[in-house]
Amino acid sequence: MRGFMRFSIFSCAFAALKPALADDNQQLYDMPLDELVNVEISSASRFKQKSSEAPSAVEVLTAKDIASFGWRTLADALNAIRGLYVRNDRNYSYLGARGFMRPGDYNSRILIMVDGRRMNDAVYDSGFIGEEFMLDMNLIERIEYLPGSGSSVYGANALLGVINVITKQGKDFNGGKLYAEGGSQGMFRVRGTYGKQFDNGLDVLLNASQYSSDGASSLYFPQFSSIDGGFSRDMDHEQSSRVFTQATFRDFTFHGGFVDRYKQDPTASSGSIFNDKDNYYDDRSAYMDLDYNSQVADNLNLELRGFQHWYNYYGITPYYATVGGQSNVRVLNYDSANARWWGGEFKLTGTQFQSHKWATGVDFQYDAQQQLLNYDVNPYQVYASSTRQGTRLGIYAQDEYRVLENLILNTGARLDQNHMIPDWQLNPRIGLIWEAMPALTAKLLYSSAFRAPNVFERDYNVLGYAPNPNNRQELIKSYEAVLEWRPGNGVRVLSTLFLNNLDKLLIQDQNPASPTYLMFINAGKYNARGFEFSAEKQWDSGRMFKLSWTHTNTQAAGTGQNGWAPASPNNMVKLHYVEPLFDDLFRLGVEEIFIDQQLTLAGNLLPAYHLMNLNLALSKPFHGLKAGLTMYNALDQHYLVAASGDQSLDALTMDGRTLRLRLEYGF
Amino acid sequence: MVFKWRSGIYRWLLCLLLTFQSLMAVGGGAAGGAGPSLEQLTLVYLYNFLKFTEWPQGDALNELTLCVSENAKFGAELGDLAVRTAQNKNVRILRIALGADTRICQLLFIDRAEHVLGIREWLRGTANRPILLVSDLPGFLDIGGMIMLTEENNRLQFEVNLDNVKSTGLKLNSQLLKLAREVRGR
Repeated sequence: MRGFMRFSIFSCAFAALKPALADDNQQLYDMPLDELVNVEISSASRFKQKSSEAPSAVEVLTAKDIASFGWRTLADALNAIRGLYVRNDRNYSYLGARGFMRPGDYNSRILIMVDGRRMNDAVYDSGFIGEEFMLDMNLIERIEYLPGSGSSVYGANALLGVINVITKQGKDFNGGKLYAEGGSQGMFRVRGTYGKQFDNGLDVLLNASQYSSDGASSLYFPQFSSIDGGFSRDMDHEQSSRVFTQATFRDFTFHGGFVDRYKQDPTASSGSIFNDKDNYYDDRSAYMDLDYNSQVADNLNLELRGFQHWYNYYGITPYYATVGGQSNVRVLNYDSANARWWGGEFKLTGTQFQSHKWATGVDFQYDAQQQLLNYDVNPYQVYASSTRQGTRLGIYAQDEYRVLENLILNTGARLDQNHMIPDWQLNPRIGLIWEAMPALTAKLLYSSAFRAPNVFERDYNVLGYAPNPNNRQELIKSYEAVLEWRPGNGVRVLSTLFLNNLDKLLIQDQNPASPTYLMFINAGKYNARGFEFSAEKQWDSGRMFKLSWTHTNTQAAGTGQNGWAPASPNNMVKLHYVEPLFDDLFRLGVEEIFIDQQLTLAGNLLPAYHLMNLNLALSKPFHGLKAGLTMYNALDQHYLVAASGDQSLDALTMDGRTLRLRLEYGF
Repeated sequence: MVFKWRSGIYRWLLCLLLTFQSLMAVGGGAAGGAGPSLEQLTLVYLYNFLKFTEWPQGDALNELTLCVSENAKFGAELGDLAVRTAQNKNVRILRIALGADTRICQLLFIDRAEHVLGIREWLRGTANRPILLVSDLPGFLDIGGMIMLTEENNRLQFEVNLDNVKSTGLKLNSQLLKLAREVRGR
C-alpha cells in the first residue's frame, strides 16, 4: 500500500508539471489548408447513440437553463418539466409523472441515469433527486426526460419515464473554479472544480462540494400540540458531501462518484418521538464505471461498460418503549440498508442496412449484497435482518426503420430476468413517427414495462410491515400521441395525449382482517389519462418564453382509497421566462409553477398553490467572477403537500420565501 | 456490517484517487507527438471555409457568423475560434437551436449528433439562403448539404457538392476546391 501511495504522489507532481499548450491551438488556425488535410487526429471519432433518438416526446434542459433559473437540485430542475412534479416530505424528494405519485413510495418507478448509467439503488430500486443525488448542479450539461415506459432499451424501473443526466467534460471548465453559496436558513455550500483537456486528448474533471442548511428553525404540527406546543425546533438540518471524477481518454471514459447526505426528520415519522434531535437519516451512494465507446467499423458502434455501486442507508428513530415493566423508556431504533452491486453492459448500434438504424445489447447486474437490518440499540433487540443476492439480466433489440422519406417505424423489445421474480419479462415498444408537414411531426407510441418487487417490499419485517415471499411484478402499458410543430424562429409547440394503465401495483395491505395484512401485495390499479400542451419561443437575444399545461385524471382502484388518486393534481401550469438585461450582462429568470388541488392519503383536499422563483445572474464572468441571486417562493406561499404513508401527519407545510446568493471564481 | 461497508468505501475512494492521478500522469507523459482532437480540427476547417467563401452580400457584412447546431460536441475549443478574424472581419460564434433564425449565419455546421429528422429540418430552414452548410453526417451531400467532413486514416477530409453551393449564390475559392477529396457538379 505504501508503494502505491508513493507512486500516486509522484504521478500527481508529474501531472502538475505538464505545461499548458493553449497556443498550439492558435497555430493550427494559421496552418495552410494543404497541410491541414494531413494533420492526424488524436482521438477516434465518436458515434454516440443519443437517447433522444428513442421514440418519445423528449424534453431537454441545459446548463443554460440551470443558470437562468438557479435550480438548487435535480428535483428543482425536474419540477420545471412539463408533466413532472416534485413532493418533499422533509425527509426525501419524490417525483410524480403525469398525475401519478403514491405518497409513501420511493422513486422506484422512474429510472434515473447519469451518462447512461443506472443510478437507482439495489434495495429500494429508488433514484435520488434531492441533495442525495450523485451530482452537483454545476456538473450538469443536459437533463433529458423521456416520458412513458421506456423499458425496451433502458431497463427495469422505467415505468413512468427515464431521466438521463449528462455531465459536462473537463474542457467545459478549462481550469479551476471556486464556488461559495450562502442563503436563508443558515444555508451554505462550498465547492471546488477542476477540469481540463490536455493536448493528447485526455480530459479530466474533478469536483468536490460540501453543503449544509439548518432548514426551517421552527415548524408547527398541530397533531403534536401536546408536546412542546407542537413546535419542532431546529430539527430540519440537512448536509451533503460530494466527490465526482471523470476522465476521458480516446474511447474510454471513467466516472467515479460519492455522495453522503444527512437529514434530520422534523416530522416524527414511523412513530418516533416528536422534536427529538436524534431523529435522522443518512444516505450514502458511490459508484464507478468504465465505459468504452468506439466506432469499430464504418457503420457499427460498440459500447462496453463495467460498473460497481455501493449504497448504504441508516436512520435513527428514537421512540418510547416499555422496557422491563417500565413504560415510556426512550429507545433508539437503528434502521439500515446495505447494498453492493456490479455488472456490465454491451451495446451495438449499426446503420449498415439502408433505411435502418438498429441497436442491440445486453445488461447484466449482480446484486452482491441486498441487506436490510433493523434493531433497537439498547436494550438490543433485532427486528429485521435479511440478506439476498442474485442476478438481473436484460437483452434488448431496437430498430429504427425509415419506411418512407417522412415515415419512421421504431420497434423494440426487451427480455428481462430478475432474481426477485420467477418469470422472464418480455416488453415491446412500437412507435410511428410521421413528418406530416415540413415543420410538423406526429408520433404514435405504445410501450409496456415492468417493475419487480424490491427487497424492501419482499423482506422488510418490522412493526408495521410484514414480509411477502409471494409478491410479483407490477406492469404498465402506456399509449401516447404526440404532435410537434417547429415553424422556425425558435418556436416550438407541442401537444400530447396519453393514457397510462398501471396494473398489479405493489401496495401495502392495510386491512387488519386480511391474511396479507401489512404485506406488499399486487393489488393496486391506476389509470391515468390526460393531455399536455406546451409552447416556447427562443429569441436570438437570449430571451426565452415557455409555457406548459398538463391536465390529468388519475383513478385508483384496489388501494383502499378508490377514485381520484391522492397526490395527483388535475392541472399543472408552468411558465418560464428569461430576459437578458443591460446588453446581456445580466439575465433575469422568472419561474412560475401552478399545482392544482390534490388529495392527501387520508382523503383531505389540499388547496392549489403557486410557486414563483426569481433569479438574477451575471451571464458573463466579470474579472473571472460570476454571481447570482435567487429568491425562491417569492410570493411567500406556505403551501401544503401530502405527507407520506409512514408519517403520522396528513399534510406538511413547505418553506416560505428564501434567498440564496452564489459567487464563483474561475482561474 | 456498517463498518465493513465503510472500509469498502474508503478503500474505493483511495483507489479512485489513484486511478485519477495515474490517468493524469498518462496525460503528461504522452503529450509529445499527439495531434488535435477531432473537435478542434473540425473548427479549424470551419474557419478555413469562412476564409475561402464569397457571400453574395459580400462587403455589406460587418462580421462573419459561424453557427453550430445545438448538440454540436464542441466545448471550450469554440473560444479559440472566437478571437480570430477572417477576410478582415471578426468571427462570431453562435450555438443555435433547431427552429432558431438562421438568417444571421454565414456558415452553419450541423453536427451528426443531431436527430436525423432534425437535420432535414435544419436544411429546410436554410433552403435557398446564402449559408454555407457543413456537416460530418455521412450522405450529407445527397440531402442538400454543401460540404461534408469525413474521416479517413485518422485524418479529416472534405467533399463538396458545388451544385448546392452555386444555387444559393455562394462562391468557393478554387484553392479550397483543389484540396477537396471529391467535388460534385464542377
